[in-house]
Amino acid sequence: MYSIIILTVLGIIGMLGDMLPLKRLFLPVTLLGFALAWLGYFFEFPMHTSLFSFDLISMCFGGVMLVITGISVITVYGYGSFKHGSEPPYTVLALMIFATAGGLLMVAWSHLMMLFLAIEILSIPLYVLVGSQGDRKASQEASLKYFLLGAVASCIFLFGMALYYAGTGSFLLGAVHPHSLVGSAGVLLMIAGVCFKAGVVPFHSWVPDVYEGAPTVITGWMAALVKVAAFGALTKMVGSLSYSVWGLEVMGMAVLTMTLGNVLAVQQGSLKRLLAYSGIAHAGYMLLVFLPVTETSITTVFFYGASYALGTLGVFTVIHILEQSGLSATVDALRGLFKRNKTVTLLWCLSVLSLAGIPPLPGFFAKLLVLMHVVKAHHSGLLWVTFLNFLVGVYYYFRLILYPFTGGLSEESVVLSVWQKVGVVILLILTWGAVLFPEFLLSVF
Amino acid sequence: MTYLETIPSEWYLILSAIVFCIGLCGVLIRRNAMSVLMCIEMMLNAVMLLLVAFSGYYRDFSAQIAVFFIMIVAAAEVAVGLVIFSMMFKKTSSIDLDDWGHLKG
Amino acid sequence: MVTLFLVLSLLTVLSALCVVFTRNLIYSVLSLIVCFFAIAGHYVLLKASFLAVIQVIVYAGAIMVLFLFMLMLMNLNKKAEASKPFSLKVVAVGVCLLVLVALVSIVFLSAPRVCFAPLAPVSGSVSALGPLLFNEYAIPFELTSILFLSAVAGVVMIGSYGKKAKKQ
Repeated sequence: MYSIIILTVLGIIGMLGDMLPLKRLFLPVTLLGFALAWLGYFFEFPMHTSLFSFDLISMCFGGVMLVITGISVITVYGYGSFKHGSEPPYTVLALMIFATAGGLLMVAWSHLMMLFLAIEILSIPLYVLVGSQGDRKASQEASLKYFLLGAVASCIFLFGMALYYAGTGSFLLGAVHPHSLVGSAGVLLMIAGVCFKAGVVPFHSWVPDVYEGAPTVITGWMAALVKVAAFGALTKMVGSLSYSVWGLEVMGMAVLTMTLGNVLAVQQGSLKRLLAYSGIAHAGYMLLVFLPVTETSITTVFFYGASYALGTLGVFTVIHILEQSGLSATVDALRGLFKRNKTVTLLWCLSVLSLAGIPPLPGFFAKLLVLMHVVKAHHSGLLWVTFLNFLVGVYYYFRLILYPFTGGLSEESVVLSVWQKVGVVILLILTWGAVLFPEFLLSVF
Repeated sequence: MTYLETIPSEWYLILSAIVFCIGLCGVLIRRNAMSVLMCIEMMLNAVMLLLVAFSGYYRDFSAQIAVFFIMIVAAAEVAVGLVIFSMMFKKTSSIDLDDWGHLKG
Repeated sequence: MVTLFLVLSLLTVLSALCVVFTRNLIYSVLSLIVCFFAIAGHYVLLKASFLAVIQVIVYAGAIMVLFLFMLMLMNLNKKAEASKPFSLKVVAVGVCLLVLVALVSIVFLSAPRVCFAPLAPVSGSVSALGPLLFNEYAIPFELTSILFLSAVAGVVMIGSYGKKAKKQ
């Protein structure tokens, strides 16, 4: 609970940010608060009540989410000081912190009502943040679409919860095993509701529009945070349910998700849409981990989530920097990046290679773990589909790697504000850290 | 005979399934963002009816507390939704979903 | 008792259908209010008196008034909403009917076994729900304040865009 309380206090400080004295202290205090929030887990670990369970899963996924938001807060803050004279957008920062509190709750529930509340605490700030570039039509449209579809998804989740309650008389997933069809139908609807957040086919139609419409700093942050939170919640859900209820459906969704995501990603010219579709494909790979749930599942989904988050944050930070220098987020904007700023190019290449799954970057180990999981499950067809999808992924990511080294549209060097440089350096350090010490992430479970 | 003993629990399941499906249908066929939001509210009410009914059958108040929380969340969601609609309306004087690019919602 | 249930259910379903199939938005809001009142009637029958009151005050009162207010503000009641192509409507209705048939068949294939605990009839009054809400469920109750804080911050942020644009 300490972590949630600390984040709430930080959010309130952010809401009042414009009025507070000592504005210089805002960023250090926020980052210190994030560190304290993570340390807070150790004081009450493990805590199991009928509403919460703060266990190893919530601590690890929560830690990843705090790191994601920490880095994004630094870059958003840096963006504010980039535009001369303008204050950092305190309300945006406050909403990001509140959404993170929701994300932490999404991996710390044991009562279904808490899961619903957590999803909503995560989503409501997101609806607003997606539309926070009020002068751009695409941003408003994305916000509207995300809101309407998200509201329908939470209705579906709730209907599932009500059916589960009708079938079993309980809101605890593990407590009663659903024998009745009504309870099983409820479980499926609840999984569908959470899969919407993760952007799994057939609930993916919001992903490309929202990724494209949202302000780019927000896109990278929400792509990483929501995926980690949703898969953390799914891990907690499927762990306590019998495989026969959801196995077949989840397998179908996983195959559809990765195939459709990759096929559509190949055709995209807009960088943000391309990454959106590839994000859908990554969600498909992560779903494979639950078929069936074994001891290594949690490690795999955690490692995959962390490496995906790192890669996505890096990629979107670079796109944001490109947009800031006056280019639109198309593949062509990458041309000549190497001549303009070498550090940014390094971050771009490392992140894209990690997402593509090239050794020795963390994305490679993540994909290897997924493949090993599929091999163990003895589905030869599934194995081939997964492998082909990995190859398609490598193809379109490689296109992105080559562009920065070709002739450029503009020759002027890319200018960053101090805090943006800090964000880029932190991302580079974390990526190298994951290359050198992957066992640190692999051995926690 | 109390009320709950005369009414089988399936009736409530079916009633709320009907209301939920009508709401879903509305979400699919209406073009105005406002009416879509109203249909979403209707779906939420179907859920709440189901929870309250089974709270009676199981003699368990936790479902009624859950309904209370759903109402809280619904109120917050409506507030956010309406302000998003008004933001759009300021821009284009229309909240017709089909006017807005390729929205499929 | 059974007739009361049937009448209320009929009212609920009919007004729900009205919400979906009337073209005029004001009529749809009004029939949604009727629908919410009918559901509040169900709550009374189920002895959930607190929720029945909340349903009338919060839903039929606050939320629907907000809807009406926005409709009047945007002047949407003047022009009737354009409808989607007929083929799309048929597909949508078909999908929903399929979902409904699936749900109903699930219900009939496996009716949940409801065990009546041999207790005195209970009623969801304020005195029964209050202690539960503020003892066992106090933490989620506090958590909803995060939800409202972020909703308020977000609404103010989005709502102030128009002003900024005018100033510039």
